[in-house]
Amino acid sequence: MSLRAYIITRVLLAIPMVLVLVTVVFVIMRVMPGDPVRVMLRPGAPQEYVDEIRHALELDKPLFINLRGSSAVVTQSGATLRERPSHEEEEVPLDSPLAEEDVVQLSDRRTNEEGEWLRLYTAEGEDGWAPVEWFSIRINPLDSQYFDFIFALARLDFGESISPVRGRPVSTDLKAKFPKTLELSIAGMAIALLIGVFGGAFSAQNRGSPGDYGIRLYGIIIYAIPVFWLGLMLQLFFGIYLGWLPVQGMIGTGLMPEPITGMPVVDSILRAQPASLISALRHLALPSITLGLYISGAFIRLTRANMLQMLRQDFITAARARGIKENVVVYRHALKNAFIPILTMMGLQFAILLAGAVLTETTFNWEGLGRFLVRRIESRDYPSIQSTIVLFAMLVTAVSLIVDIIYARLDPRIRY
Amino acid sequence: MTERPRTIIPGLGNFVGWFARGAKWYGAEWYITCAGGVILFIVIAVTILAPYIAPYDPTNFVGDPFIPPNSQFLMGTDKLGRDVFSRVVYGSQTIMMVAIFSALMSSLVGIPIGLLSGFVGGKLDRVLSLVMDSIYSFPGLILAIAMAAMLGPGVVNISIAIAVIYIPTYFRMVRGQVLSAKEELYVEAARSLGASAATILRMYVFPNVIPSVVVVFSLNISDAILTEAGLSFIGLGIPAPTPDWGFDVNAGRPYLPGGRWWLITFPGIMIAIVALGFSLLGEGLNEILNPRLREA
Amino acid sequence: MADVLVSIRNLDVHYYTRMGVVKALDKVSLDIERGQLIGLVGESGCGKSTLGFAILRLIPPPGRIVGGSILFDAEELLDKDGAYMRQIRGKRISMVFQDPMTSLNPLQKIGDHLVETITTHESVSKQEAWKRAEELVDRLGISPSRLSDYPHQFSGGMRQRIMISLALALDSDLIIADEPTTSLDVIVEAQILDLLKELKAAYNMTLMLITHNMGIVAELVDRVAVMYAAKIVEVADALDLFANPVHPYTQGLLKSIPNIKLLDQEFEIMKGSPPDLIDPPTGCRFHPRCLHAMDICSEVDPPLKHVENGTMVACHLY
Repeated sequence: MSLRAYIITRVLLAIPMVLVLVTVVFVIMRVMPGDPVRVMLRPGAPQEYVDEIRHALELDKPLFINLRGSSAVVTQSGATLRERPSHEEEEVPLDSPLAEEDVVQLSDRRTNEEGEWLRLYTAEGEDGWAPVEWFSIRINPLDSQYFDFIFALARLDFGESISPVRGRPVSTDLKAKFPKTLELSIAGMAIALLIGVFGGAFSAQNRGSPGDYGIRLYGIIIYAIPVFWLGLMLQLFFGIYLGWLPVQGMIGTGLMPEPITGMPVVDSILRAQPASLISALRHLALPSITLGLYISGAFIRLTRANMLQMLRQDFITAARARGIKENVVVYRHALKNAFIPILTMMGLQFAILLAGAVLTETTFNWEGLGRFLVRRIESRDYPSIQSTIVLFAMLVTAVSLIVDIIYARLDPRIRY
Repeated sequence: MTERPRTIIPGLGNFVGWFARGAKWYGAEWYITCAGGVILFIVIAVTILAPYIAPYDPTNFVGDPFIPPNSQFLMGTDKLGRDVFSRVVYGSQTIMMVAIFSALMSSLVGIPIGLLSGFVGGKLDRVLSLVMDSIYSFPGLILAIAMAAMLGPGVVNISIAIAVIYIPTYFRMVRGQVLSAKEELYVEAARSLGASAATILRMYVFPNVIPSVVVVFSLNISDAILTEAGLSFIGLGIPAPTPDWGFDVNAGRPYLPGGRWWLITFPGIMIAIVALGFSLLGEGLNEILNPRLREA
Repeated sequence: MADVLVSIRNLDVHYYTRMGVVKALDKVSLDIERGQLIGLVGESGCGKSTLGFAILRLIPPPGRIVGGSILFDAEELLDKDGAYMRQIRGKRISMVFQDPMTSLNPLQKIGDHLVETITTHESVSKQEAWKRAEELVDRLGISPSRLSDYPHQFSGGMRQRIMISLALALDSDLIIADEPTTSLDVIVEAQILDLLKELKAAYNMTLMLITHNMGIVAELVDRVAVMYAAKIVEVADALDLFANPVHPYTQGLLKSIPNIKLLDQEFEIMKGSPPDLIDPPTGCRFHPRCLHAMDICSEVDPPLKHVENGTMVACHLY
């Protein structure tokens, strides 16, 4: 099929993928044991506060399907509600009494010896319990946490923070932090590819030599080294002992250019500010090298394996038989052919890269999505934790999609 | 007739012979596996014998803070005056507990589900595969962060958080084995003779699965160690004062610019060594048990 | 006095494997004259392809040339370094490979294959090289406009023509064709053979045709060398060989070819199978299967020597 048809098909396929991933995140964050509200508040918080937060975050709704009823129309007017679902309870007078035809929001439903009770919120925000007979319930099955979640995401609405700043849209922060992570990821991936591909090719070309064994050993060891420790050791050595490179932050104070893309290096170039550019590059060096080293192991092994296979191919021998120089044979002909699976691996490694980025950003105080996530975990801001993880899920899917499309473009055998 | 030389340690000759034969037949992978085995042996010994090896109580202060490594405190003291060496030694218990516990959970959940899914097939299989593939493609650490954030700290919770990441690995592997076993003619023959599902699983699937499970298990532990360290580093792991390597690395970070390198270097290098040990063992076993085409 | 282009003497090629040392070529000697079309025949594994690669010194590891001499145009190739060999390859000695699908780079256009070969050996511009490439493929029956296409867009026969054009690109003195038609169907094979005949007439090529197909040999070549178990057992002019095969192995080979014209033919198949090259039989390697084996055959390895009118044979019967 043509490239365009392939792209369209592939994009359509991505949608269920995202859906599943996002659902998994949802299940982890809301369904699994662990109360989000308790996570956010310190133990011993007053119950009303807990309830208020719960309602504000709409965590009192049913999880997946709402058959309980989400709103109701008053059929029998009343001026008082109860604190708890019982006629014995204290009456809570309403500032604005319930009149017929008023619409109230429901948040809970309970049955006891006295019948069925509903917990409701009036239009003015007052709440309490009342018998079910007073109302005519409207059922909207899609008024559940899950569907709210999905529909909000479709609108790219990532919710609002609770702390440190209540009401601040999470998307504002996400939009600001994403380019920083993007810059770090691209730089890290580039370094990983450089080390990995050329190391692997060299290793394959000189199979059995000490260099080959050394590179293979490196490939095994590098993955066992915790990326944050690697970063710290690089900081120690290059930043503190040698003093060559900065160890924290993305750019020197006061040098951050006005954002166009949000990426310090790119913006420095676009705004033609050489001082900023140099500072940005110097700050980018250690974190991206850390990340790049961390990922390079997989690329070395894959490249080596592919190249070994590739170098055995007939067309390589045929090229040699035509007198083509060995370097051209290995680094152009063989490598180009071996590159396509490497491209696929890039997509797979992206997930690991993201995980590594979270740790690397924390280590270097790099204000990207990873650092943001960790900060919000520290301040226990549930909405932004959830939204950031969802964003990660969407990013992973997007990268996988892009890689597949590039693959189709590069390999002419797929196209025709 | 030549006399056989007497060995100093009885049995050493046999051992050396076994080792040399393995090296000759398997080549480089043998050394890798044995290196991994040696590392693990030492680590497990340290874990079990921690109370006898560590000179001090890891949770109490025993000296001035920030003493660099010397003869009294082999790895120096941390900001609270605790002996880093003792913390490192006891830290092995923490991390091994979490890693092994989570690996056990992953395998005990992933393997049966994989067997079921592969065997039953159909819609169940498709749905499960979709879910498992999604989890598999997701960055493991981030998934663990999500779970750990929700579940809270503690050995059990963290182990669960980490376990979830690796369930798909076992699932995929076992499911693959079941599927290829289903295709085999001898399995069809067995079925037509009335063999039950359990019998087929036991006789045809298990023997193929076991070596792969061992390999994955070893690599699983290696990964779990790194994930646990990462979680602790962020602050989501085992809370103080339990000695934990990742936690210590994080705690020592502010003092790095002051040149106090020993707070971070030793716990960190231990993480690397233990992870490497399991990783080498797993990779080496993989080559031995599932040999790829030998590079002639 | 004939003009000898290639003179191989006592060539030994060994492969060092886990199982042992495979002696792929054992004291092989052969002469190839300029303008000659020589066929190198034998069963699979007898070493004929190895000989072809050895001339170009492209034996892959774990193989190595361990002894002997290869004289090309009076120059000893085994003394030369890598850079010299690279100059020779493609320019003075070219090779046509067996499977044209796998012998062409799937990511490289056909034109680029040719241009790269030309520019590697001669300092001409890319445009100049492209023009030459167009002329080359045109002569071989491929439309020059297809130079921008990729290998997988051609049929098997066309791909083999492309391979031949690559071998002809620089007017090589010697072309080694390793089973050039084995992977093609019979009709295409016939076309390629016709093409080779034309080219031989037009260019006076020196061609070493490696094959296990006696039919092609009968049709095309001037001289035949028969190989068995890493050794050359008979060398003769084509007509002489087919009319009067001298070595028992050659006789057996020819007797086992069915003749479509005879209705009730009983053809004889040689008993046994080719020997293990790690541990070959002592003496003459064919003796376990030979109908005329004598005592001396299991002890002494017969040398290759002249018998009559240009025929050479390695057999104790002579």
